[in-house]
Amino acid sequence: MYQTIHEPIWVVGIYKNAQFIPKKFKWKDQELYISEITLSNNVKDGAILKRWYSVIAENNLYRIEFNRTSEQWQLLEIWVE
Amino acid sequence: MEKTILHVDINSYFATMLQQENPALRGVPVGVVKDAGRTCLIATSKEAKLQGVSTGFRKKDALQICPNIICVPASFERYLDTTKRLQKVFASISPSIYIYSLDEAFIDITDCRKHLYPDVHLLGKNIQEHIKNELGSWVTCNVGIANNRLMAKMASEVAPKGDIIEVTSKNKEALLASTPFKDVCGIGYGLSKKLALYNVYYPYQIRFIPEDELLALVGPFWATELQKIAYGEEPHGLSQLDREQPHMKSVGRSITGYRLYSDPTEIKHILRNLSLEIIEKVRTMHLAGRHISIGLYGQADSWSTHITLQSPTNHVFELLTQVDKLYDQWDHSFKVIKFSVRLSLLHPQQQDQLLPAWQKLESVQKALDTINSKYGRFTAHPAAVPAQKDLIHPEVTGFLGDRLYQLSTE
Ligand SMILES: [Mg+2]
Repeated sequence: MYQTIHEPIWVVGIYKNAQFIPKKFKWKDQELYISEITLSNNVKDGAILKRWYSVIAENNLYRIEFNRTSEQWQLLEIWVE
Repeated sequence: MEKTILHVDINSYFATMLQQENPALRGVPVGVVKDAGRTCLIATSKEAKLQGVSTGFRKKDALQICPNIICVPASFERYLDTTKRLQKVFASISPSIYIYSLDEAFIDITDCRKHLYPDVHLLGKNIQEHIKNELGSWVTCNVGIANNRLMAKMASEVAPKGDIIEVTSKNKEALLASTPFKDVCGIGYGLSKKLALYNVYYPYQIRFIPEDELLALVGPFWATELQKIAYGEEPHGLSQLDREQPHMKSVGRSITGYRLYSDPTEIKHILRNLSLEIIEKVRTMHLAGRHISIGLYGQADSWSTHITLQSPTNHVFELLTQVDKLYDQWDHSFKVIKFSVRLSLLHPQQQDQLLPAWQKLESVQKALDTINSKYGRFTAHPAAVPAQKDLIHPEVTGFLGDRLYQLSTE
């Protein structure tokens, strides 16, 4: 099931073909390397645009969010078996 | 000229997207619930279907036949985005597409087949590849190809997962003789029950019901429709899709609670939440409605009532006041599990009215619209409605009844 986190994270990534690709993120004191982005979506909440990435890091699945208005990153949820 | 229509349908869309997102869910039975805590499965993965668990199952019944099923909440915002991307894929193939639901579309390639797509089977394969590139490698779809929408959809319904079937003169009759009514577009449950009285379970068999008996059984409209379907011709219901869609005649919202409710304050809050969603939607669609109805459903009882206004409204305060008034007519004789509110007799929004009272409401509503569109849905709300965290967010309906609203919010 997905466990709700909603905590800020710090993200490092690259731009490729005019698209941002997150490569690693720091959550609390852990640095997590992203091995795969399984899905990314543009979502909208009123006029606030957000980009959701589902990423695999160290064999865990994380749902992370980039708020395109505030330019802040958040860890939304983690998959726990 | 004979037409060429493709019907493309993502396999188990809601569940497949969750599996694409999360490798832990791939290859295992997945049940999709509307929200955490909900017990009704609104979709299931192909692995769950293989074990006999399908849409509409209760979680606990599903667990009995399929103990390893994993239930995951749907992610409607994502589906809306993936549907928009699918739409782009379809639009890149032909200018003539019809989005039939969130995950399926008819693509008419009649005019471009000769020059662009001489090999339709190859086109089908390319579409499947294109969708994998766009949405992810786990995502598969069926493609049905035929000279009309009825047969194209029938072919994609019965095709094995991820397959392409082209209907030709060679396999058409066999398809009509072997496709059960549940997989035939346009034949609903009620109609199939009636036909079962004649031991008719497949379109082909309809040919053998004497005309007068068919007429007596289903009436003139359906008799003609069924005759067409029996021979694999497109029924009226599907031909209608070529017409411009009229705007929606009503907008309704309903929700099933997590438990039984008896506290009038709670029940009112829920009805108000639903009303707020309705207003947000009709305003986006530039419509206003004159008929308001509310419904409350218990485990065995239900109650509903309605009112018709003199002039159409799309103002939240007016709707809330009317809904409250309607609610006050209820005798509280049972505990409530399901709630619904509907605004109907919708008309395109008229020019501004000159009444001062109306103008005041409109200016307040416009201010609310502005705040909500700038800072997120339901940031601002009337004091009578609880704050955001308790609100129910709009959902994406499977059958795009509100396709204009859902897909035109770029
Ligand atoms: Mg489908």
